[in-house]
Amino acid sequence: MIKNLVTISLIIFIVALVGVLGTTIFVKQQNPNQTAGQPQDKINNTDEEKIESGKTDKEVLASDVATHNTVSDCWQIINGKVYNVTDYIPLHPAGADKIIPFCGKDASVAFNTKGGKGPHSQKAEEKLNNYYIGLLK
Amino acid sequence: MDKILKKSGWYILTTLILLPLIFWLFMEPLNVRFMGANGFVKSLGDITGLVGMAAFSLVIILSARLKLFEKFFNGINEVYTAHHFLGGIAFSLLLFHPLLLAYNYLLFSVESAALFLLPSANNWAKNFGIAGLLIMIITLAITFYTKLKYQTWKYTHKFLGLAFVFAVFHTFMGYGDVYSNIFLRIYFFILSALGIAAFLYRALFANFLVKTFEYKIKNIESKPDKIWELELEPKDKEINLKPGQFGFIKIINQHMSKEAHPFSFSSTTGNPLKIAIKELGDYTKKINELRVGDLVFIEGPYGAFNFRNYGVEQVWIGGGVGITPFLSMARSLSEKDYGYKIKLYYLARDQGYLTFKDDFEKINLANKNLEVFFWPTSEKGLLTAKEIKVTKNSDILICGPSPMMNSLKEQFNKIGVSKRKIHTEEFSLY
Repeated sequence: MIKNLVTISLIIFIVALVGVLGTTIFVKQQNPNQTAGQPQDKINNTDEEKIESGKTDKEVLASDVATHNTVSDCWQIINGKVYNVTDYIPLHPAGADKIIPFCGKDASVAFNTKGGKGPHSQKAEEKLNNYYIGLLK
Repeated sequence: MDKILKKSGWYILTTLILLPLIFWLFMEPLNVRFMGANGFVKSLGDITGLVGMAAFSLVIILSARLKLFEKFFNGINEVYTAHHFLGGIAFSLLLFHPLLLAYNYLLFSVESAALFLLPSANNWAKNFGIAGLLIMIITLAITFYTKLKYQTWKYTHKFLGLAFVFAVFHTFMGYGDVYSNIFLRIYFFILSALGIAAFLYRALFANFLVKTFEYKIKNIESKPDKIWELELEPKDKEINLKPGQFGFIKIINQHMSKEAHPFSFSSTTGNPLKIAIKELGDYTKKINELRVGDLVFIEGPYGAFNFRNYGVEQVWIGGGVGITPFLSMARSLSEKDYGYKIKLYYLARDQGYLTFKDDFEKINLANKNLEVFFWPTSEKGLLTAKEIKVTKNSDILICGPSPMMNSLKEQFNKIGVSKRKIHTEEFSLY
């Protein structure tokens, strides 16, 4: 009985994984020039290196933030500070779709009001600090 | 009280697995958690992670094979059944955990979902999760779909400890629910610490930490149907056993591999101690290499298959080497007249395979509590429930190959014997 459960789960897992990875590779081969959704790891890293090298808070331009506008590379401005929330997207309690639209943009209003439902908890603010990059210039 | 405790193991496990879910439910308003299809799927992703991790921890804790666990289960066999069952559940839940979380990305683009499922340079919480799951997939595919040598399998199974350590890192490094909630953090800290302790105790340092009894082989007797009965004498302290129990036995001999294997005791006491071994697998095939004087380390006794737990009217059915627990029980009957009325059916392929026929004939003559029926299936056909005279007071004890036990259990259920009256000893441990 338990073996059947494991077999079914494994099959679903493998099919889903192969499906997602396979589709991605297939789409890439069809449109080799398309890079939308691609994490700009290199840019990302150099940016962060630049930012982390100094002790004082770095300043980030809104135009820089705007280049990190995909789910795989997502910076957001919240109350005058810049955050790299890429890794937080899957962890957002109310679902990723609530924060994805703000990648590369100012999410202050959405963060402060949760779309009209009131402010976030203090714990949420603490969590946000883990993703802090610098001040908005 | 003991009987209630013995049934509590599964309830305790279920409670411990679902406990994180209760903390989780009170963390955020549910309308936020389950907002829309995305919130719903994301929440399922959280739940599979939390419940899966709690189950994984308990599976590792159960593998410590502590005698304490037998208080809450019907013998260590049932502990292993729970370990195996829960292991399958934990694995399945943890497989769904990343898939459900990836769903939110899928709405944006397939590529972003792919990137989420692959390792990334600076997200170590995720990378540890992926590594842990990968090890689980490989080692559990071996467990569920291959038939390796026991010792090789056991070696591969130990890597699940590493998968568990990675899973612990994954749980604590991310900024998810466990980070946000102090109760979840404390709870998973306790489970993880116990799990890692159990792994160190059983898988890595068993040789130093697990208590064993040291014996020496005194006599080796070759019996029909490739069964050997070893007589052992203690070097120091003797094991204190109840009839029907078994031990994990490690024999020190250059031809034998070093891991411990479970075997039934066929004697009633720890001095002299007798164990019956059938040549079945790679390990037992080498039994003819054993010599008088070889050292034997015994861990145990384990098992709750004991006729003294039940009423006076009993039917015992033993098939093949599954007869050994009954041999020790029958031998113990001659110690004192407790007023039992026991019918024993001893099944084997044919007359020549009734390994312990002589022993049972002797006991049969000397003891009015026991009536023995030899049942060579080549002559009498398979034993069916209808051929056994049971009353509604009879307790039925069965030990033998699984197909035999399952078939008899089913037949007894059909003729109206209550499940509570049927007691089986699973011979193959997971």
